[in-house]
Amino acid sequence: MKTTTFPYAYWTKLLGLLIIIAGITSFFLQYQKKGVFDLNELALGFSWGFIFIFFSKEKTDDEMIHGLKFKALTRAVVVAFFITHLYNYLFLNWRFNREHDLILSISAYQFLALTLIIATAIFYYLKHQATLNGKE
Amino acid sequence: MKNIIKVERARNSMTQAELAEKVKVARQTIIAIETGKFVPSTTLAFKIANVLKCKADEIFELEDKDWE
Repeated sequence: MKTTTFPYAYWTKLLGLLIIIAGITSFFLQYQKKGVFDLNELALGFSWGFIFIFFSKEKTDDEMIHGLKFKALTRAVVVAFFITHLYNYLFLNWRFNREHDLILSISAYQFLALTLIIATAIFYYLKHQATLNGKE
Repeated sequence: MKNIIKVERARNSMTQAELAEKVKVARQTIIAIETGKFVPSTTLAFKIANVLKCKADEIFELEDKDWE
């Protein structure tokens, strides 16, 4: 029985990479124009890019890949949530002197980008670990 | 769960890549199964056994830790 868990074809990884590059370029162009580091715009590029990279099929898509991606995603959500919570706790709750008046909470785009970056890294790490010492 | 895929593969003069191609999985998956890092589904286990001309329970064997 053929299962199609991941909606995007393998080539959409390239599309994801192009979106990330466009996001980084836009981020620096905005800085040159307005002199502001718009992290939300950078996160927007990263989140869309990693959506295509992480949720696309691998060259050979099988049950181990599905299992590893699920494992990576579950771990990444927990780690990203911990980082987000820690950031908010440290920078939004503590009343120490800040350089700037306003510190924003981590946005949905930033959380998604963080989660998918961690998930992708964990997935490739787990894939590497699974094939360690077994090659002929 | 331990298995003797490597032995049966050698008996059938088959490489990891050839076995992977026949059961339609990545070569990494065969490597992970052989080294015990990944336990395949029943369907994949039967496919592997079929390609290696064996019964599934001849290739895969439960270990004590599988009962824990």
